[in-house]
Parts: sequence; C-alpha cells; structure tokens
Amino acid sequence: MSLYIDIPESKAKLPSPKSDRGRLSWISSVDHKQIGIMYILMALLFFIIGGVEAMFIRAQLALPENYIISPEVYSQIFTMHGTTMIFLALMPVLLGLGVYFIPLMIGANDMAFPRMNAFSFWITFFGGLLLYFSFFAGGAPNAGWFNYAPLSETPYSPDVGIDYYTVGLMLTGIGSISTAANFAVTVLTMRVKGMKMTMLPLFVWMSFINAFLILGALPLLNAGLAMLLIDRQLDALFFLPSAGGSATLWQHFFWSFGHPEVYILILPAFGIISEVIPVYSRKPIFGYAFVAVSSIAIALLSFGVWMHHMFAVGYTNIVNGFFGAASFLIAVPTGVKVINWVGTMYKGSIRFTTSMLFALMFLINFTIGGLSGVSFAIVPVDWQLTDTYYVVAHLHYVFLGGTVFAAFAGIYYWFPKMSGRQLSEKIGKWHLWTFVTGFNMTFLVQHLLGILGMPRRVYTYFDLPYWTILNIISSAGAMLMFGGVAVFLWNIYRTLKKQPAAKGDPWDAWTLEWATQSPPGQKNFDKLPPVHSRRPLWDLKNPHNKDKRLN
Amino acid sequence: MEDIQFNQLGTIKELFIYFLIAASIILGLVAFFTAYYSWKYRKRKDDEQEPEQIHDNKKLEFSLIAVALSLVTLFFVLTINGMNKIQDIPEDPHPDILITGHQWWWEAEYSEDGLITANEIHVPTGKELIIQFNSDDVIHSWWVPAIGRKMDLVPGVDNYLSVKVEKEGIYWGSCSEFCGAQHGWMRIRLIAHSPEDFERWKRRQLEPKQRLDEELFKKGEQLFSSKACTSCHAISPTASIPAVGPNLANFGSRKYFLSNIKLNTEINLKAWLRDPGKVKSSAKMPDMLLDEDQIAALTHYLENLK
Repeated sequence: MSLYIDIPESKAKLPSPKSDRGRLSWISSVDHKQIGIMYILMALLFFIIGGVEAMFIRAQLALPENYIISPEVYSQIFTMHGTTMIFLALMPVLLGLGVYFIPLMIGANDMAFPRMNAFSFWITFFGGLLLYFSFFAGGAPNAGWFNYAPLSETPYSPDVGIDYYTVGLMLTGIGSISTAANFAVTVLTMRVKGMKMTMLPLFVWMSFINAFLILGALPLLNAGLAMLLIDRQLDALFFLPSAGGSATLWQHFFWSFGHPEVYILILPAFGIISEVIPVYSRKPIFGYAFVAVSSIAIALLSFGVWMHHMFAVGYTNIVNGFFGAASFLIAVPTGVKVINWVGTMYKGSIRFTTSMLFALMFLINFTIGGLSGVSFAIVPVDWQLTDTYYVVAHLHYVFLGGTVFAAFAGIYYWFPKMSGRQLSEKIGKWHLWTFVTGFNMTFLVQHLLGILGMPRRVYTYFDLPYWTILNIISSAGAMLMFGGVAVFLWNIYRTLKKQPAAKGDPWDAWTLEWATQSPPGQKNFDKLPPVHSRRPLWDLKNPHNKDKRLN
Repeated sequence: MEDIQFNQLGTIKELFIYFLIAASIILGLVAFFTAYYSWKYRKRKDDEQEPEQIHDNKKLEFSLIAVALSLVTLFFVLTINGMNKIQDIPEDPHPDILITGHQWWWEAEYSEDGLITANEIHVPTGKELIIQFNSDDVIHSWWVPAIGRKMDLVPGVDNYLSVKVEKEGIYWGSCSEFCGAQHGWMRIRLIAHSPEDFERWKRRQLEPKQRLDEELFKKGEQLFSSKACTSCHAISPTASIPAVGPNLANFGSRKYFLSNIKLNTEINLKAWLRDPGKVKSSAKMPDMLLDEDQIAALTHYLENLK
C-alpha cells in the first residue's frame, strides 16, 4: 500500500501569476498595464488620505481661536497633507497614466524595462507606506512639506518623523527616477515603425520631456535628503549655522528640485489636455510644434527659477532680479499652450463630455493659477505676499485646478480603454460641478485672506475683519469638494460592477491606444495600421481626408 | 536717501494693481474665448460631419508670443524699479533696531542706548529706520502687512530692512515662515509714536524701576531669583543675556504677553504661571510647580515692573 494517494488533475486551470491576470498576478506582474493601474489606485488611496487630512485642516481653521486639534498635531497634519498630495497622489497618477499609455500610444507591447517598471512602482508604494508608518513610530514629520532646515534638524525636531520623511521620500524619489529613465528609453527605442519623434502624441511627448525633468530634479532632492539624514543621524552640520553650516543651503537644494517638480506635475497634465481637447473638438491640436517646443522651453527654464521661493530670504536685488526675470520668461511658453488649446476649439464640433468639461475647467482655473504665479515674479509683490494664504490659493489653483482637473479629464477619457466600461456621464457631471464649485469656494477666497495678512501654516487666528467669514466659506467649499470625490468613487464603483459594455473606441479617437480592444489583452497589439502622420487612426477612418504625410 | 519719498507699501500696491489689471484682461480673454467657442462651436444635433481640420497659424502664434514677451519685459522693468526703491540699504548699515527671532517670541534691541524689549516693538514715526534681523534658532520671517515687505530672520545671517512708518498707531503683524508648533501665535505688535513720545517711552523704560515697599512685591522679587527665573529672563532693561525667554524689565508696561496673544492681565499671567503648557503648548517655559501664594506674589511683582 502506498503512503501517497493520487490527486486528480485539476480540471480548471490553476491561477498562475505567469499566465493569467488573477489577483495574485498583480504582485508579480511586470505588465505595464497592471503596473499603471496599481499606480493610479495608489494615487487614489493617498488622494483620499490627503483629502481627509485637508478636512482636518479646514475644520481647525473654520473658526477663529479654534482648538479642535493641538498645534503639534496640526503641524503633522498639514505636513503630511502636502507631502502626500505631491509625492504620493499627483506624481503616481501622472506616472501611472504614463506607464499605462506610453507603450500603447507608441505602438509598443511593453515598456523598455518591464522589471524595472515593477520595481519603480513597488519602491514608490513602500516609500509611501514607510512615510505613513511614522504615525505609529512616534509622530509624523512636522516641518512642512518643504521641511526647512534648521527647523528640521535634531535640536528643533527631535522626533523620528523627519527621519521617516527623509527615508520615505528618498525611496519614492528612486522610484520616480527609474520610471523616468524607463519612459525616456521606451520612447526613444520602442516606437512602432514609421513613428518619428516629431509624430509622437503630445501626452507621450510631454511625458518624454518630463522624464528628463525628473532625471535632473529628483537627484537634487535625494542629495539634500541624504545630507539631512547624515546631519540628523551622524551629527554632521550641513544645515546648522550654530556650528558652521548654512541655514539657507537646504532651501537651495529643496527648491532647485522643487520648482522643476512643479513642472513635473503639470507637463503630463498639459499632455492629457492636449489629447482630450482635440478629440472632443474633432480637430487636430492647434499648433503642434508650438505646444511641443514650448515644453522644452519650460523644462529648461524650470531649472532657473527656484529662488523665487526665496525672495524674502534677504538676497541682493541682482540675484532676485535674475530669478524674477526667469520666472517672467517661463510664463510665456505656458501662455502659448493656453492659446493653442483655445485655438483647437475654434471652428470645431465640440462634445461636452465630462472629460471635455474638466478640460475646459482646467483652462480657466489653471490660467488663474498661472497668472497668480506670475505675481510672484514681481519681486516686491512677492515680498508682501509670499508665505501667506495667497500662496496657498495659488498653488492649489495649479495643482488642483491644473493637475487634478487634467487627471480627472484623463481618467474619464481613458477609463473605457482601461476597463472596457464607460463611466456614467450623468454621475460624472455631478462629480464635476460639485468638485469645481467646491474648489473655487475653497481657494478663491484664500487669495483675499493672504492679501489681508493671514500667513500660511498658522493653526489658528484672531477674529480680524473678514477673516472668519472667508475661512468659513473656504471650509464649506472644502466639504463640497470632498463630496465631489465621494461621487467620483461611487461612479467608479458602480461602473466596475457592470459588465464590460463600452465600445472599443467610444470617443472615435485617433491615437494608437484605440487601435486595440478595450481593455487590451496581455499583448497590446498583434497588428497596427500604418503610421504616416500624428493621427494614424484619423487617416484610417478618413481615407479621403488624410493628414499630411510626415514620413 | 532721506529725501526720497519712501513708502514701501505704496510701491507694492501700485505694482500689484498693474498686475491685477493685466491679469484680469488676460483671464477675461481666456474665459471669454473658452466660453464663446464652447457655445458657438458646440456640436449641433444631426451634424455628424467632421469639421475642417485646421493645423496651425504660425503668424498668429508668433505675434501672440511677441505680445507676451513685451508684456513680461514691461513688468520686469517695473519690478526692478520697485525693488531698487524698496531695498536700498547702504553698504555698511548702522541699524537703529536689532530684532532677533526666537521660538516663539520677538526680541528688540535699540542700538542707541542698548534698551531691550520683547514682542511689543516701539518705533518713532517719520524717520527712516534701519532694522537688523537675526534669529536665535530656526528661520522666522518678519511681516507687518500694513507697513510693507517681509524679511526672513535667518540664523547666522544679518538681514537689513529700512522701514519708515508715517502714521502713529498700532500695527499688527506675524511670523510668516513656519517655525514650529506655535508659529501661528508668534504675533508682532508694532507701536508707532511721534518722535517725542518715542523718546519719552524710551526714557521711562530705561529708568530704574521703583521697588514697591510691600510684602507681596518683595516676596515676588525674591522668588524670581530663587526659582531660577533669571536663568532665562533678564530683569534689567539693557541686559541681553540670557535671551532664552523675553526680557522682563518692563513687563508691567506691556499690554500683551506671549507674543501678543494674551492680554497682560493678572488672571492670564496667573494661568500661564500655573501651567504654561496649557496656555501655549511646546513653549520653552517650564512648569515651575508654584503654589498659589507664589503665583500671586510673582504676578504682583511682574505686573508692577513698569
């Protein structure tokens, strides 16, 4: 008698991370589409967490001399809100859309380095988890998202929060750098036959330029973080003036990363808008060359404007004047893009889908943020308004009114591609209007608060004329915006429960990602139409009115 | 320098208004064309035809870029002029006042006679003052919105700002660079006197304090040294050391205390001495474990230092 009994062969195929897309496969997957979706889900998770933190901030500030949370906890919450939104929500959503769509839009079957792609995602994700572990390890970082030294040094911040900040952000930084390298190589080497660099879809082009921005900027942050960690753990004195270090050196490291970072967060958003507006206006982008070249100008100039964050530090007029001039200049290529987007709508046949409406809201709200940004290039105005709620308003108009509106436009546009299901347009419009109204209520009034003299990062304030009412409006708007996000989540949940029903190409679009089924199979393409212009599917669909041949 | 009409805030306001006009026009145009094109070129029912495919218009784009460049050039020139007007400090400045930032209070030293005070900063009107800024710990930032620009207080660096206050009165301001938990309550109270009143104020501050001949005052005075208050607080109006806590030589003459967040009343001071952490958490002032009698004596003593 045998000790063993035979187990019959399984009739159904066992789940295998190698061969199918069961749940387990997500952990080991190197498929760019799964990694892209995980990036986006990560961004959504941290967007909600960061949003809850924002609600605490607005609850505390709703009324003067309010003590819902203590000043010590308030510092941790606003620090984590900023850090989360920048590094764990906005970066991942933009990189995730890039990871998902760059190969599809250039007719490739995966990224150039699929394993590194998975590595990038996981190290970013674990960097985020490590940052949040600080809450359980003795307190979150509490020196603001830009973490100025010497405040972030051991004598003034002895708790471990700052150490988690340095290590966590170094990890997410490494993830971003490897993703950027992957983007650059993928675009340079994996394009389908016939697609020249001048024929890239603009989202791919912007992500490509962005890759070089990341490769230039993130190492500066990581260098600064390493120095800070050495200061804190090994008693070096880079940033401690009491022993010969420099109190402003950190600011130079941080902002020479930080200002390119602002463009890192907006260039891919520009790319999304440059895809969405043409499709829903049924016209090619107006002035492709101008949109493309202005991105290069932005990328180069963005490394020469960082000191406009430091005008009040006390440098001479010559230094401040130089950075003021560069900051004025960078407004020009940005303005060019706005002109081109509006120009694309001219004589179009515009479809007002949720995605298009988000793009239109982007146009107006991002313009507000861009213009208020120019006021900081006017150095004396910056001297008056820097570090006030005017800045808070400005940066939210850029990050929310710009990046997030564009990300929503992109998600509504590409959701059918990613899932095979179309998000509800009706619920989508509820999401749009609550979010946009709430957003403007929250942040438009903050310009005034800044002008009236409310500094940023204060945990409470006295009931000075108009301060209370403006803060109440702001907090009410924040609640509305939070509701808007809930509607969005409901929309996703409802749509995912339905059976796949979307047409493969519901928007009748023109770039290659729409040349395969939705969602794409594990292998993106078996065959592709010939690529002779920037809109290969337009040429296919309109054989009598093709775009000018470019190759 | 004296003969230049000096008004920081006026210059800043003027620039901001120019900016606001230009920005409103640009935003107006973008919003108008976005809305107008949206309406005019909306998809009509039963119109399934693709519109004409327009790819670009180089002439239009180049001319708009030229307009944008001239606009930013104009504003750059205005900016340089404004900067030179506001930040015009001599090579080798002789500051009238030295302001030092601490977590979380302000210290002011008048260089002419060495008078030191805290949080309530008095200045004469009509005179161009050069203020030197420094920090004892982290970076702070000086800002009195109604007077003008910010200036950071950077440890290890001397920053200078010229300030001229035209009108007598009380001006509120606050620290504008995040400097730790109590950043929000690091408020400035700038009091501008006529030059004569300013001199009078200074004389009174420098006068030796009258010691009251009563039990409670003496007990308070004795407690102040025996309870080691002096290891952080100076009690002479010209002693700069040890500046861990504010100089208390003229404490009774101040209207507010704790960086101008609490009225300087007996009740508030007693609450503070009883449990500093409860009134202003994270502040450096330790709980001295005083009993009620000691608190009463110290309060009486401090309130009479005027």
